[in-house]
Amino acid sequence: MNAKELFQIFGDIEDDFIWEASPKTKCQPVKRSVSRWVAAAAAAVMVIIAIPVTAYAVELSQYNAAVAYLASLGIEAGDLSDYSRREVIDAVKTYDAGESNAMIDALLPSDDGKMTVTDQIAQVTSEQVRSLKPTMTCSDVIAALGNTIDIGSGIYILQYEVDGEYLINIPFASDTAQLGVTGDKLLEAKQPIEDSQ
Amino acid sequence: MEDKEIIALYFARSENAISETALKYGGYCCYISENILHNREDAEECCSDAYFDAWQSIPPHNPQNLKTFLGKLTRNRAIKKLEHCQAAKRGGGQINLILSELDECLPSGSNVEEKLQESVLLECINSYLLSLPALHRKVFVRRYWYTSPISDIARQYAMSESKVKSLLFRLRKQLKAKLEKEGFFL
Repeated sequence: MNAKELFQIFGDIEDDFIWEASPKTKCQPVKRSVSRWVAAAAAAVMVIIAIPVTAYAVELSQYNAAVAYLASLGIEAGDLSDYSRREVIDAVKTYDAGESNAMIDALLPSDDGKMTVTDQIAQVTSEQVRSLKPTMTCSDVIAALGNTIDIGSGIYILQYEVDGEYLINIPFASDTAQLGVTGDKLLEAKQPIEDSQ
Repeated sequence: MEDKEIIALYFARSENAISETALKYGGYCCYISENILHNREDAEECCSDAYFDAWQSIPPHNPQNLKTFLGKLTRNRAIKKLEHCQAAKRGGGQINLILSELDECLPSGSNVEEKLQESVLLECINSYLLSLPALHRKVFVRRYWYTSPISDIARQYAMSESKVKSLLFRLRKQLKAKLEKEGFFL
């Protein structure tokens, strides 16, 4: 495989990722008619007040970027009320450089919303499996059948014991991927427990 | 106009479907094609081809997300056009740099045994992207899906260009490690 092929394969990534990274649309500037003298006077006033405002604007811009970064890690802006803007900016700089930071470590959510790990295979009935729908995601299936072991590597493969006799494996490529088949179809692929061992 | 209304125009085979598509997503599609082709005329032609592809495929296809559906059609058309342009020795400024960056994700002398591996490779890439913090994922997708210049990425996400470059470097290394760990390369 070469870089060109990888570039083409990359074109088929999940729609959600493409949507999330959409570039902001460019806006055309609004043209206003203002007299030259008014514009010159306004410019002069702006120069007089610009210097102290600039430093504030730079810090504010850095702070907003830091808040956006922390939001992407699951830390809400409201959680930062006990910290100054400079503390938040410095914390993000050190954390993003790969170093640990006490403030961010204290604020990071303990559960990142992903599937919790368990080493217990869940036991379900055929009736429960038949209730599954093709549009269900991984978390929908877990909500319906209960948490179970994940035997996948890189993708999710949920394994359930059915009616005490069979095993079924339910694969999902991502958190947002859909089941794609009915519960009846899944049951067609069930394997006796003794054959699986 | 809402996406579902535009899609309804396609299903009704209304000639307004294309014009409404261009009105709402023309800028978005041109952004994608121009980043790849670096030639305004080629990029606009590519967008028109993408609208035609959409017309041909809707119906029966009913895209869940019209924007990303058009984005993918445009990207694919732009790549095909680039191959044609490079044969004629014109255009494509940014793309060679991006391909050389992606080359770092592949071990030297790598060989994928079967074409069948491509769908599994895509699943692995999706899994990797899902594991990233949202900001890192957005930067990576902007660079390697949208082929955005570093300056655009830095501007939108309020980062310096050097920070964007170093972040992309780390993310490419991580992707390479993941692909090797998943056994995609001999």
